[in-house]
Amino acid sequence: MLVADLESDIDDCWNRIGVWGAQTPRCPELDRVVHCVNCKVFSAAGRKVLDRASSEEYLRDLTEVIAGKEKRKYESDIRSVVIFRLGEEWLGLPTQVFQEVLKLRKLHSVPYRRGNILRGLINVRGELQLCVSLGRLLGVVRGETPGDNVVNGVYERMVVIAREDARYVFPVSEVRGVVRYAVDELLSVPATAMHSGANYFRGMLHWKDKNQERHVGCLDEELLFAALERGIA
Amino acid sequence: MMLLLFSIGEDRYGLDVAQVVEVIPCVTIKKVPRVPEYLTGLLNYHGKSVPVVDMTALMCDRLSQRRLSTRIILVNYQDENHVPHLLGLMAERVISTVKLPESSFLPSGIESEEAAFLGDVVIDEGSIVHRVDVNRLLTVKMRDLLFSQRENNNNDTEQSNAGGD
Repeated sequence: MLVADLESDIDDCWNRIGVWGAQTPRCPELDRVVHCVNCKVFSAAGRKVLDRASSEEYLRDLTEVIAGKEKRKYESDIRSVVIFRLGEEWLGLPTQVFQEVLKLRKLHSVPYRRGNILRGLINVRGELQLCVSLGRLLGVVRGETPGDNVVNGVYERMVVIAREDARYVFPVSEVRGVVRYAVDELLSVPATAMHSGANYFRGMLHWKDKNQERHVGCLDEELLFAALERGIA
Repeated sequence: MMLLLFSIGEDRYGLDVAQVVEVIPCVTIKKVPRVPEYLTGLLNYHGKSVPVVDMTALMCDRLSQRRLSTRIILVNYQDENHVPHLLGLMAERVISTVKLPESSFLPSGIESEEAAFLGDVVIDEGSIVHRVDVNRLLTVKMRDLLFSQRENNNNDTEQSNAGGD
């Protein structure tokens, strides 16, 4: 069917009467359906549009898409991480373990416990939580290169993570946001890259941040929580 | 359950969406010479060759008209040995799905050997929708035509690939 045929074939009553029925004569159907989008006449006419013949160009383009490499990812293969920065290091941790991102707040230090990764206690909504240093655990030195889109201190936050019964708070230099990736996009960690910290990584993610391409180390939450538990003991 | 609807003439039929992999537009299909009319040809689906069967030709004696609403439904077809195959079904007016409770299906009362794939019926918006069972769609003869040879070929290519690596 040609487009010309189609136009004569469709009775566009909604253009004549108006979708809200403000004009006279008013469509009696509108008393029941209120607006044309709820009307069967309207949806049937919409479907008729699909009875047109498809153009050759359209078919050629789509044939290529269908023949090409499969781009679709299954929902089950999609993971999501929160990307944050510790000093100069960009890190990712599964979104599911994140509970809260807070402004920096006062830390109550615990006597005789300095030196390991425990930094102290912190008040989160009336509950005292353990505050740890992820940088110390991973061997990331605090220090930022000025000029690399980094404004010192401005974006510093406290992050609350939890898994099963364990809950920890740690300060980060910046929280950038949530990134979704397909499982097969995760690259393996170079054996030499991260010293001992590599033990806690699930893989590296290639992440395009604005115009900069960065590599993000994605932490394995199971290994991380186990290490934190060992670290504060 | 949810049915993906298609039409043959004025009549409506439905496929269980659990068996559907993807619905794609009616793209260009490579014809195969000297095969029955219902076999439209072979589709290049992301580098795999998938046979496409014309549902209209299979059920009545004419071919599907190529329109925007005529689409190819890719389904997972399982033969009697429960081996899954990807199969394309070209059908007209693939434009809607309906969600219906399993209890609303009624036996059709007609069992035709030639159309064993037609299952029970359900009444939706005043008209009858006939359920099509993908796994019973092909007769033994058709299945052999579409898949037996292919199975061997695929195995061969896999082996040669493995050897090449």
